[in-house]
Amino acid sequence: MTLDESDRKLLNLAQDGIPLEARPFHALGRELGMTGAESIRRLKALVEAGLVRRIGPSFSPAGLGYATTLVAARINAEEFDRAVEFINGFRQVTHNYERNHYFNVWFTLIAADRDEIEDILDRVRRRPGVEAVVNLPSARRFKLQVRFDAGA
Amino acid sequence: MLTEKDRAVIRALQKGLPLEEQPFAALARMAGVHESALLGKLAEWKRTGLLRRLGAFVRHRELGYSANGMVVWNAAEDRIEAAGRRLAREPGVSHCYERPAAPGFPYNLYCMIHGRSRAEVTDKVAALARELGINDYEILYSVRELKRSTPEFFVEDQS
Repeated sequence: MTLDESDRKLLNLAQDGIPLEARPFHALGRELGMTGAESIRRLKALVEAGLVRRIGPSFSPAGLGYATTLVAARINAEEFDRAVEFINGFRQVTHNYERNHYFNVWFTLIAADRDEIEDILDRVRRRPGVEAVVNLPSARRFKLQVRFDAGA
Repeated sequence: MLTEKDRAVIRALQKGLPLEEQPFAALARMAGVHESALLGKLAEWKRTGLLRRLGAFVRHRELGYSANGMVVWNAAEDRIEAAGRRLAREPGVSHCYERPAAPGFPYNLYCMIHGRSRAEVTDKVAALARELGINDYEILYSVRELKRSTPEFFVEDQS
């Protein structure tokens, strides 16, 4: 999909936040000099084209009473796919990435509490091919702002 | 304390904001509350930080951000705060957390940094390292996305 200037501005504004009012896309459109209907049309196209993953909320898991952590794991080549499939099978695993390092699998967990996290990690540790699992919970947050400039 | 109505609003909202003229009215119907009550809750949660953001989440690789590195730093204890604040000011940094050093992994400051090429990211990190005075760091690039799902809250007891 070719993005024009308006698409790029819309992507940036939409990432900044959808206004909390009854006709939010009308308000967004006004900032961009377009109608609400056009901003909706463009957003649908951006979703369709795979540029926008979703339009929705990001809640603070801790604020909602959940426990979170980052986990580093080392999985051998032979069992890699099977072990990753096992890890991904947990609904508590939200993101999982392969990285170029001794610890080659990194995933985030959002669970009911620390006990549930430890239970999951114990089960992961017992899987064939899983050579190491390191729990890396955060002590302090300096920044969480997932916003990518669309180049407007 | 979250009420049952709060949880109903959260369950409705996390399905996604409908792309229609009055999306909050649609969500309010789903949650069984008035639109004004829903908007009031969202505004309050935004104010307290419970709702971090309500917006578009992009596929950044599609926007050209093909280099995504997790940089792990080994900062002196009394330098962590200053380093964390400096990294937070960097536009290409999306995440920055202090994590206690673990056995086998001595790093205590982690950040995600994004760029249009690995060269761009490596250069930027090298410049940050010089500025921070931290030369013990590693950049772990994402080789493959294995799973990416949106967290779903309060659905564990739903059938």
